[in-house]
Amino acid sequence: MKKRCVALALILAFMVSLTACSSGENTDGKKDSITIGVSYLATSMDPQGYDTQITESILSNVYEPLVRVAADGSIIPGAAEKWTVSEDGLVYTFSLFPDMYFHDGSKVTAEDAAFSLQRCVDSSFVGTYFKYIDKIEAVDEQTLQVTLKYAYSPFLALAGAYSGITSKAYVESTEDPFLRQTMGSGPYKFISYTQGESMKFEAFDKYHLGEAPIKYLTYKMTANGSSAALALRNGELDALIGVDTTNRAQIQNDENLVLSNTQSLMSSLIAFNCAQAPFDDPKVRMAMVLAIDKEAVSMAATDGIAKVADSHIPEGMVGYSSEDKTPEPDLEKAKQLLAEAGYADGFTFKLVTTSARSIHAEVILENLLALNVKAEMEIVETAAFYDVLGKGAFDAYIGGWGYICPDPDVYIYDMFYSQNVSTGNYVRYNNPEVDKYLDEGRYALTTEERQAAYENAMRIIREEVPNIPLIWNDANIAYNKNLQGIEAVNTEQYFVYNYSWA
Amino acid sequence: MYRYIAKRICMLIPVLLGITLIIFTIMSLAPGEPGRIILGERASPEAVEELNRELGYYDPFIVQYLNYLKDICTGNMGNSYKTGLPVIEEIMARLPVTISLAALAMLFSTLMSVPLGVLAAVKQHSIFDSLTMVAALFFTAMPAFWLGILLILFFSIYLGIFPVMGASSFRHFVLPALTLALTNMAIDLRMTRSSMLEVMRQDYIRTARAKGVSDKVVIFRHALKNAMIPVITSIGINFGYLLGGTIVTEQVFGMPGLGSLLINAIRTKDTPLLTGTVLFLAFMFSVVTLIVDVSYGFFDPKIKAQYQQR
Repeated sequence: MKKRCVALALILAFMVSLTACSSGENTDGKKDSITIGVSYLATSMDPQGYDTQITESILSNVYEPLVRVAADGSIIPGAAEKWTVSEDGLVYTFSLFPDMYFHDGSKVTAEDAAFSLQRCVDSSFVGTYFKYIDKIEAVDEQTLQVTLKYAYSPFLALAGAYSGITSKAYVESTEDPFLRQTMGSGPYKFISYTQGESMKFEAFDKYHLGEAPIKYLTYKMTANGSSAALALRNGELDALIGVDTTNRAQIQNDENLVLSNTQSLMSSLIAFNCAQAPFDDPKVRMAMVLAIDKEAVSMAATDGIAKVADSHIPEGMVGYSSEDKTPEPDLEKAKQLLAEAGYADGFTFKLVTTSARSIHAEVILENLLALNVKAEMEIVETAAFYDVLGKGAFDAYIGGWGYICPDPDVYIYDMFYSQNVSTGNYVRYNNPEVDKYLDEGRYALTTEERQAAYENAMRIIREEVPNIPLIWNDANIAYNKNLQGIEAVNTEQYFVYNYSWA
Repeated sequence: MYRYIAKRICMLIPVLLGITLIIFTIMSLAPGEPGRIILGERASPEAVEELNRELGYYDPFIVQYLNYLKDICTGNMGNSYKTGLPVIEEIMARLPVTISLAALAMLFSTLMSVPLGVLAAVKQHSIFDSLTMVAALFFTAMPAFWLGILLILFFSIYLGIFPVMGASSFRHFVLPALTLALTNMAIDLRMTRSSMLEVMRQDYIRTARAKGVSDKVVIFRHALKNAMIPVITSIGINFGYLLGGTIVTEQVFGMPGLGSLLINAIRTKDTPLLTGTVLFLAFMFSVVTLIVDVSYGFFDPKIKAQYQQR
């Protein structure tokens, strides 16, 4: 028995040693590494081939987009030192920084930038955001000229998110260029990716704006929010993106940590299938709206931390109007509307959602009981959820919808334009007048014209309520108090280049 | 003996076939088109449809299933929808973590349950006996994620001995293995106890005692050795369960093992990855059970003799 135990222990030690790797402890003095906890790792290392927020955060450190979107929403230089826009808003001319290199030491040229922007247009993930691009041209080694089919003001903000420059030579000569390795020209270069555990990066010494203050960058996957918070308190993580509501208190009570939060550009909403009974009648939809208590949703789902969303367009964005508000709950009026629509005795409908929003759904179910309206809740996995939505196999759904950049077009247009049934207008809302205003907002050149167009569109949507936003999700990041230059950003884009240790 | 092993290996084939059929049926009933999962939510319907067709999504179920079997037989488990990496590569990258974790948990569990079980049997009906059984049931009833968090709070936050998450050193494995061992030890413990009790009542034990052999020798040389056979079975089967049962623990301790791979595959409806991982786990379980069965022969001369007669 003893011998067997020894053998077992030896086998075990061997197996453990197989999985062991260097622990990355720091030497004394100033810390030169940062470990950031994320709930999942990059789903892809292709800067034009992903659709998740954390991937965007991670890749923004590896690839240099043409321009970057600062925390305050302004457009600042990325790979392009400066740029000009023609008077008709159709031609963008970017001048790239002269001494800019990829991580393999080769020079970044306008041709690489053109190649990457073309990859945006062709991408199944983000191509829909670049449909307005007509022509991409590398004029000389440092000048890139982009011609649009029509003036489209969110172009720069979208380029900020997705135009990460890849090396044309690298992509064309490498088999699976983004699968097990990757290469850009951003402040951090790729070292390793351990599936399901971590991604490691090292500061790029030839980054065109100077080497990053923190030398080593690690993203660690934290599958469980509670242990992630404990790892942060234990110093295994230096920052944690997205703290669960239940774990906020212990982080706030820890004097070594800071919790920063802000209203994100991602909303939770309830939407009604406008193509079939009972919600094909605007009166029924309005009755639902009048019965839903958004405060209660925020309270139950986020302890009241998430701000109640009054409108689809948040304050500070083009198209926002203080008049654009969902009506206050009014049960009497709701009952009256239901009676007018022929549902005085209530009805039963199918409500689809994902586990992430099941609490929202429960509150709303409770609210609607007052109208004798009952919902059969169906909770599905995310992948199946979009399948159900695309097919229109629901009466109502509770989901999330967000701005990938702070411009109303990228959100409102997908969601309400009659032609976008498979890409956002899952409720099959169809109003030619709204279409007209959305087109106006998209093609207008001046902010005033756009403001007017969106105000008009939202006025109709407010009355017909194909869907209503419930709350703006909270964007937060918790971090070691000695970290500087770090704070919650509404786009949830965390650019590590700006961070440093005190 | 070899014939028996060969027979057992052949019996694996229908088992694995059945597993693939069940997983494949469930996955094809679940909604979610592969094209949409691979190309993203915002891909055009045409592109999605084209990729679906390329992947054989519109083929009849039986054609899809047979194609999958054909691929498996040639060692090709397909590529993950999400990462694009070959499924087998993903599994192999995670396997060492899960095996190490399950092995360490098995070691902890055995080290705790066998001595405690023997003591409980020897001191049957004593307060120690009752306390051990209650404690074992208590830990079994405790959800792994809660026990895990409590262990983290005590050992990592207050004592600062072990790290909270990761799998990059031996120290990372101690707490998760302890969590698994505590929540799984009841079966081994009870098995040791009842097996010991049974053996202790045998005539040869009474004979040994009658001829004046000391208690220690009776218990360890005569009783324990004979009582171990069902315990070894139980430990072995438990190891099989542990391979597939580390999911929650891996999540809590942020370990990149097969459990977290499986959860991710389910969450993103990554069919090839999910089918491949479940199939692999089932295969591992079958192999472990086989090894346990075969090992009887080595531990029990009676069984060995039986085979040799044939």
